[in-house]
Amino acid sequence: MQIRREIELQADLASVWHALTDSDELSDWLGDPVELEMCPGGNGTIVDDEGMVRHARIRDVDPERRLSLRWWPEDGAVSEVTFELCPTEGGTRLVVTETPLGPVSAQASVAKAAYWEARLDTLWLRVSAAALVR
Amino acid sequence: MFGALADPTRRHVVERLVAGGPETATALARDLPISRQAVVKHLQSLSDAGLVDAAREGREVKYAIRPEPFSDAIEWMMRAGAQWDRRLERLSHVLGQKVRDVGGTSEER
Repeated sequence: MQIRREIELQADLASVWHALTDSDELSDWLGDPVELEMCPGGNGTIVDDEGMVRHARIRDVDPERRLSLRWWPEDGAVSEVTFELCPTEGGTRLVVTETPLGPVSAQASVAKAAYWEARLDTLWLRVSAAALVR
Repeated sequence: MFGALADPTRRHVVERLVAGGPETATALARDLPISRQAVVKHLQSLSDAGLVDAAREGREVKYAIRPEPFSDAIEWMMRAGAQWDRRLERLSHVLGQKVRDVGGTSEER
């Protein structure tokens, strides 16, 4: 199961990279506020527009190419988020993916959480994704 | 309960039912290196786990996926997807603003 979004941005690599890695700029679009130590292993917190607080840890920083981090809400599952950049004629293509690393529970209901705590593997989640696009 | 999905044959059956809609055990068995009886047994386990429903259609029994157990994953995907759409729209806006601020032009999207 994975969320994937691709967007063409009318800005050069350096500007997009700055927007992805500078806490002030991140606070303009990713959440508000965003505080991230931008180095592998660096920690941070992100408050999103729904008021949800996520803790984050940076995984990889490959300047102007790739950034990956893991984040998790206070009582929720960990997801891995990656940003990949590629220069295009008019600017920069950005590909974002978010992949939950464990079972997700949309609502934190005890019954549902218990249901999902059972072992589910990737295939089963992939099946769910297939159900979504039917 | 989720032991029902630990078995690769059962996962295959679930995948088939998700992708292709309701099927009979006979049709499912055609794709698998096991007997129809063995497929029926797997379907019974899936049905016991609440993942599959059996419905009689004339002389046939068709098996179908029950969507409820899948709904948490789908709900997560829809919500996380919508959040990324909003974030990327803001990012695009912020970068567009910056381009204009330094005197650049931005083409019509």
